[in-house]
Amino acid sequence: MSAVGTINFPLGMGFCKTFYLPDGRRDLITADTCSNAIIASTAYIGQQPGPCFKIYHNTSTGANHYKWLEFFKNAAEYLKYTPFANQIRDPNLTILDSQKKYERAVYLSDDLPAAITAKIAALPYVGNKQTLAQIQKF
Amino acid sequence: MYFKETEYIFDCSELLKLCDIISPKDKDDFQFDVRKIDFLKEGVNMQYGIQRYYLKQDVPMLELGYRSILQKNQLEFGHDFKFAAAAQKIIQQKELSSLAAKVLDPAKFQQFLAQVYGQQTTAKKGERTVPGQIIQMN
Repeated sequence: MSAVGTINFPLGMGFCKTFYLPDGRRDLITADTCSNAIIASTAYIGQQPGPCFKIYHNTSTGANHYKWLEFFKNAAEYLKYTPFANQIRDPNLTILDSQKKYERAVYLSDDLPAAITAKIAALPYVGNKQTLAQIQKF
Repeated sequence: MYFKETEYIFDCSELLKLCDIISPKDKDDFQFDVRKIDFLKEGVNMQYGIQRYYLKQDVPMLELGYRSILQKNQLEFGHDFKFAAAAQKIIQQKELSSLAAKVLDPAKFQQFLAQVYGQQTTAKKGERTVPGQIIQMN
């Protein structure tokens, strides 16, 4: 899976709802564009007479930079129409630009409910081992 | 974390110069012009690729227009109330009291029926009426 897939896949599956992504210029390039550029630049240098040394940066920030927010919001909108078949939760994208806010949001949405469920599952007569095993895995 | 928080710009002017040098046919075959990448579209393509090739899910092609598909979670909480509130702004109550007075006036109603059917009949006490029969009110 590609680098951006590490965010897109958990988003689609519903593993993660909150992401810490400060907005700004980030470098991203599609794999097919990158491979095409390698072929074209190698062929061009090979045609040059004599020894040749050139560096070709195939990047997006210099000419066409992208923004986190727009990129992932569009992806999240697509998931509303065609969700993953085996998703765990409904994908809901929340992008935060502060690490403290992110940690607080993850604690409230994931860690705290998991801890409460684990406590209830460990109670005699009320909880069961299966729930406890699942929540420990989570 | 470093790449998330740091903003940087890589120069790719050499590659853009190469784009201008190569022939139009090669440009079509090896598309590596960074300026032509639509990142908003790529965000959707990424999710589509994960669903189609990684999860082996049967998803409609993007060319068909995913926005025409009904959203899975289109109906939000309180959707019907929101819809009714929005409709209230569009629908305006008409003043029908003057119209109602004319409609409920029996003499005018009979006049109307006489105009339509050209014939009037009188109903006597105890007389059975046929459905659709015109009755004169005294």
